[in-house]
Amino acid sequence: MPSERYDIETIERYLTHQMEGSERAEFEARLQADEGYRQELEAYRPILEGMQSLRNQNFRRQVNAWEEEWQQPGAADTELIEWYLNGELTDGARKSVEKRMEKDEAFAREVAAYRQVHEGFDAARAEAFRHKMVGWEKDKGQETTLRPAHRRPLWPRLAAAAAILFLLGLSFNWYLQANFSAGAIVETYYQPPLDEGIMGDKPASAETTSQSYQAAHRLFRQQQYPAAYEAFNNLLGQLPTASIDELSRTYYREHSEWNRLLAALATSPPPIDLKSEAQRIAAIDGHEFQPQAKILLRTLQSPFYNWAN
Amino acid sequence: MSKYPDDDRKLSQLATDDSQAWKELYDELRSPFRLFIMKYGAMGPEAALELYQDAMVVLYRNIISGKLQPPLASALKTYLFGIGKILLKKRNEGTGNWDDDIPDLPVAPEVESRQDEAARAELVRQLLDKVGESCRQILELAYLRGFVMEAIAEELGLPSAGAARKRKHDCLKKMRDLL
Repeated sequence: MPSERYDIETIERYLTHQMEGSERAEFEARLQADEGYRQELEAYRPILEGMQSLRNQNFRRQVNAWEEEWQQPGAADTELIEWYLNGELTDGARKSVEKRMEKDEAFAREVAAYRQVHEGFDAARAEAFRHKMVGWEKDKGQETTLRPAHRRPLWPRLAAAAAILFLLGLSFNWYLQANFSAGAIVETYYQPPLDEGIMGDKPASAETTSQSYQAAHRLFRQQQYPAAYEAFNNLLGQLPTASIDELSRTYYREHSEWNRLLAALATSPPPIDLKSEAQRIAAIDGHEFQPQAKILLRTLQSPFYNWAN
Repeated sequence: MSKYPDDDRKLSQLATDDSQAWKELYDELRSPFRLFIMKYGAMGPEAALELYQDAMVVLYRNIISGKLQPPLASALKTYLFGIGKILLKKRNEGTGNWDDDIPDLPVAPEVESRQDEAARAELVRQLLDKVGESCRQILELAYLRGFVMEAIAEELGLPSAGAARKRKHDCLKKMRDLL
């Protein structure tokens, strides 16, 4: 066998770039002189390069798994929106974002929401800067006491700055509370039950499910959130064996899951992991509340949510 | 004296195929790379992401194969951006107005298309299916998981690193004969 005449280890070292400098040059000279060695090397090339390609593919699979973590609902959009609002995109990319906003209403709403947040940050930064300026003014005030010159008193300006600071702080806090507090979120996303008539005539066996469902909603509307959470939770436990048609079962399940999540959100401390539950619902294709869950998840991941709560 | 001691340390860790270190690098450079490519490559966010993953695979290959070694001539981030730049140039894309901070790489990475990569990998996958379980095991440890001979000997209960090396070469020859 010709392959036995040649040293595989040397061939491997050459093909895997482990050979350098004079050793590599000498080996290449030998290859030039020996047709058989060249052929042998070429026979091993697809194997060793293929091994590397296979390893690359394994790495690519890992990369895809890491990427999935980034592709949590809305995460990619958040980054893009941030770049857009910060003016970091080129004209082309900026125009494509604007085109998408025209076509995709939900995306446009997202951009608008983040714009508010962005402006809130700007206001907070301005507030901090004003605070610094007040400090500088104070220092200057101390310096002026050394000078006999007549100056207008500083206190009206300090008072005005303090008032502005106070108002800015108040506005920012109001903005957070109005958009990111648990109460505001629950109010935005709460879905009251459909009018009984819409669900059609129910057989007597379905009456119990409907009553439990209505009762849970009553508790929710009375803002008895822990009790509403329990009521939706119990209903979800009963649904698999309830004597109702599949359409109704799906309706009750999806609505109860969503309202249970909202009730948990309004309960302190929440009885479940809110992000996991929102993520679970957001991942169910066809779930009536999948779009809302995706948006809610982004809100829960926002630092503003933590600040407001 | 190294110009990038932190990156050199990181590079040494990446060279051991430490999955956690690779994931951290992936997460760290994902946003800056995409923004950079969107800016200079005039690409959309999705295309920039695809390019990022291709560049990451090229970086992986260069580090694992030992082509890129400390001390680094540029920061890892710059090197990765340079790979992105080369990938775009090879595809005749990009604005051509590259930032001066991203020089052409001192050692240009070999760039392989996904199709070529898939074809080469498929050939080896087929051969691995034919060489028998014991050969498959040792070849996978050596070439796909980057085990050194001592570790292979320990993993497979072989008497020494030399015995593992001999077995590996016998298996490699078996593959070559199958071709």
